[in-house]
Amino acid sequence: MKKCMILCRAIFLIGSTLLLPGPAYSASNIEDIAVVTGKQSEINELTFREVRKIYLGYPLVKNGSLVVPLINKSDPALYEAFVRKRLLMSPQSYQRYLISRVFQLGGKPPKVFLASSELNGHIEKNQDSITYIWFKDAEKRSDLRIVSHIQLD
Amino acid sequence: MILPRLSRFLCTLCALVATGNACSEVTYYVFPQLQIFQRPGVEEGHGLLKDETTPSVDLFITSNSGRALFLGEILAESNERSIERMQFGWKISSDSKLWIGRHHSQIGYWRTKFHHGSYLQTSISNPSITASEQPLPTHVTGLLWEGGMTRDESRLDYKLSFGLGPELNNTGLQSLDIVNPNRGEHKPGVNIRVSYKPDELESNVYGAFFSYMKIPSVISGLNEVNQQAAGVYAAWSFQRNHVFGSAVYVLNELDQVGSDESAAFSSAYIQAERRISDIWTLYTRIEGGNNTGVDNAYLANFSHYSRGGILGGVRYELSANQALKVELAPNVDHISGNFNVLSFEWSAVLP
Repeated sequence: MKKCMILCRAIFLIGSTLLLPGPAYSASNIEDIAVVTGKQSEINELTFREVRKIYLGYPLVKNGSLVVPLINKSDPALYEAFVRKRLLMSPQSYQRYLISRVFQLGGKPPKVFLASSELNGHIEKNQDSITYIWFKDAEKRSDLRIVSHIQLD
Repeated sequence: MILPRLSRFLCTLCALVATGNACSEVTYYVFPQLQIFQRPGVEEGHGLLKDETTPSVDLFITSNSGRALFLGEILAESNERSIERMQFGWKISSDSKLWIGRHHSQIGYWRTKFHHGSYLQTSISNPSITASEQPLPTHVTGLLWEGGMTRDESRLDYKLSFGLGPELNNTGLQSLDIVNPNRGEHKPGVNIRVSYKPDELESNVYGAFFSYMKIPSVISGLNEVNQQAAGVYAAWSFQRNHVFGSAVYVLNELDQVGSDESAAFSSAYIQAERRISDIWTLYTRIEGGNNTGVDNAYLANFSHYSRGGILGGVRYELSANQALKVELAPNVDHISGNFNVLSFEWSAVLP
């Protein structure tokens, strides 16, 4: 009887939760994105496929350097737009993909930055790194070089 | 008895990681989950309960320092704690690694894809043929060679495992306990898996695997099982759909007291998933086999083996790292009878 009550509560709880609306992607106010690297970096232009390959965890060597991807989560809208338009998946799917890859093969996922100041410092010290920022911000930065331009419709 | 040994082992592991090379980078994930099963109609006495609640936590840790690699996974369930994987490796090149330690066997697709992290798989249940240590070995202790090559956009990967397999006892297959390696008898076996991806960045994959194991037995009247398993698998993604499946043929030669016997069987499953939005995924799976009846002398040793059935379920992304799942499997064709299973699961990944 007690177990039945617990189960009924669990069903009610789960059922109620299932009816809750989940987060929805807003396509409004999206702008172009620039994939950037440090000014002194030897990384040249990156193609759509190369950016995707790097962020999906596959090694890519450019001018003798292994390109290191950095995940910029300082702006949730930027992160979501980048993952959807460049990696062609939802943020949830990308998270699961990265964990699943490490779970199968070992290694480590790309480093995540929640604050842009910390990200800027890292890029400056690690010239083989790339990340992404809004295109309009990239144009104003003299310490960064644009290696790929993502146009969002 | 297991807990103190496991605690000591964990302490040693943590100390190793903490005092390791300063350049080493450690990544860890914790996968907590709570599963509730309702099996109305199940007959008592077959080891399955009508109502069952099973909490568990899977701890995964990986570290690399230069070319040296480490990978460990510990599963803690309400009644059992086990070291699932404990591998030390060396990165030979960007495309090849050599591991030594306890790792997953390369039989099939499911186990190597999802391991024990239920959050990573869409469904609650596994196909029966992929259940842990029954009826096929899921762990090997020895060497694992991983390699691959990329040509244009396509990629070929291969994995070769050579090491000690499990022992068969009254509870199923028991793989080597690396904390207490003298327990049981374990013989070497080999398994290989090859997979081909037409586009390495996409999830479409085609693969084949083969395994040969000598499985010593402590079951009365059965000395040893020579097991050969061969199969194929494939996965396709298109639009919001993901479909994958595997088929395996297993030949068991039973070395019994008085007479030998062959007990072959085959099994196949296919699972289809559709993401109806970012947070909702519907899925269904069908599984079946041949010569999987109670008269199969090998399968008769696995009371939890389900011969097949169809199921459906839904997964809801509760947040960026939590999921809720509900699954219904009507009329499961179990080796001890038919019954329905209704399952609920909360699973997560931390951090």
